[in-house]
Amino acid sequence: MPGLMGTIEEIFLKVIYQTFFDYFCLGKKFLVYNMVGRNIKSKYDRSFVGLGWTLLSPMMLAFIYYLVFKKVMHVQIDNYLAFILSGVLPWAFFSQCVMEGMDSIVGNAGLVSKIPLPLQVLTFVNAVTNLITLSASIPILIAVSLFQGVPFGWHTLMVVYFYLVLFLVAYGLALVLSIGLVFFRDLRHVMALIMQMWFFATPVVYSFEMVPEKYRAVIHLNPVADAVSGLHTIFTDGRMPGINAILLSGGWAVFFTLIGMAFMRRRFLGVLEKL
Amino acid sequence: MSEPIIEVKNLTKSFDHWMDQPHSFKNLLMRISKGEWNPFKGRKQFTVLNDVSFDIYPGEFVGIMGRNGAGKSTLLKLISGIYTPTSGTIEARAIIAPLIELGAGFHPDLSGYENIFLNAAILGFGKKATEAIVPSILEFSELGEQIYKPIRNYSSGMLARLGFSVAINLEAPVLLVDEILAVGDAGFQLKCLAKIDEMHKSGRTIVLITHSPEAIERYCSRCIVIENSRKVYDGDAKGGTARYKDLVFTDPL
Repeated sequence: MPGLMGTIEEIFLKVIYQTFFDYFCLGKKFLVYNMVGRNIKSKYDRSFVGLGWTLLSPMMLAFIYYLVFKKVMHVQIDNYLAFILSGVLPWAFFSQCVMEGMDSIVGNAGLVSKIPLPLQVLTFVNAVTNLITLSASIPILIAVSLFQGVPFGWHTLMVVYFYLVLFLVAYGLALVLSIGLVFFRDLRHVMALIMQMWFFATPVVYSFEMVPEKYRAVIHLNPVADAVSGLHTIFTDGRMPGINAILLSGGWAVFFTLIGMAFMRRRFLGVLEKL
Repeated sequence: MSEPIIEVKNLTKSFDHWMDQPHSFKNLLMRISKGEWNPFKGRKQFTVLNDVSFDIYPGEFVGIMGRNGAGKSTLLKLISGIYTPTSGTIEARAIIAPLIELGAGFHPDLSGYENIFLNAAILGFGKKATEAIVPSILEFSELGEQIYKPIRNYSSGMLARLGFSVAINLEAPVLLVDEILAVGDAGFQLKCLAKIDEMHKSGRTIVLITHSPEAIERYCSRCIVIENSRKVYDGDAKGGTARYKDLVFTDPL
């Protein structure tokens, strides 16, 4: 709590710090750690391939896209296997993170209506769980791009940056949607449709350069487009993504973080009473 | 007397009770197409607690009684900060640990041992605190080797025992206990009540919701009876249980 003492700047800084602290659940590390552990274990404990499923199914999908777009339709993109994998795996993460995160309040109604938990914790836990499985894709992407002869170097580190961007966008969006779902349960179906359209509005199976010049500005308005095309640049061109892609995707991450923070403490909307 | 540890003043809580709730877009669109633009039409207020006031002082053991649906659990959720009051205020001058559900967040595929950590984390324990209480949980829950098996094979009594063993280690100065003792066999219930009483004797403030007049008379120093969303009795335990029995047996719903 900001005290009565202290200048306006101090209070302001404290509020910013507190918001940041709460948004990333820094005061709840033990809780986040345990719940992420629970999620990962429960998802895969009783299945044969375990954690591999999260990567295996998008990889199968990527392989199908590879066959359709490269072998049948002859898309003119070099290193298409690396290209498709570096697009489909992060997209699978993003869409899963949003769709599961949207359910984090309604799906845990029994928990949040009985224990005074900060509502963002569950969404954050979901996003972290998905981020961990996503990080398992890094060695796969590096291996495939090396196999296709794409150089490995400092630019490869930028994968961490773009993954964080996707994480922040997905977390902020999921937080807002999770509150929305309490009021409109069919948001789930609407979002399933939107995610399908969003997939094709994002340069995942096609490259940014294939988009006609006059539509590119529209694609920049897609919060994940620059992050995904940045990943394409890293794993297929083997070079540092352009400063535009870095700044624009970073901007979207900040934007969604701010939106998420604004919705974080909306208890007065009566979310819990509505469950 | 010292300052109250929980101060509830003119507390009122209403819920929206929708006659036809626009819970889906289809519903909303249909209403708009019928010319009903006001999304709040069809909303009725449903008052669960009406102008309830009381103070709880440090070291008290307060029992709250009332028939089903009288508003007891809502009151507890308001005090613990899950719900926000429609009007009136609740002032808490200490950390409050609500025990509204035993074994919150338990996952069936994890072992009892792993669930201890999960449950403790959800209840607000840190890492060190949890590690410190593990031995006493193992002892109190009497689960033996079963603790290392997935809890999907546990009986409901075993689950209750495990959940309660974690919960009683909460260090908060105020404990809100909601009917959680209804599960488990009679012996275990007595053990839990005795444990709660022991915590009370060590200086904690306890608020207990129960339907058992015996428990109230045996342990509570004070009893509050809620009926039809209002506080109808606040005084010693004997009078409270008499009032409760009156309500239950002479005025059936």
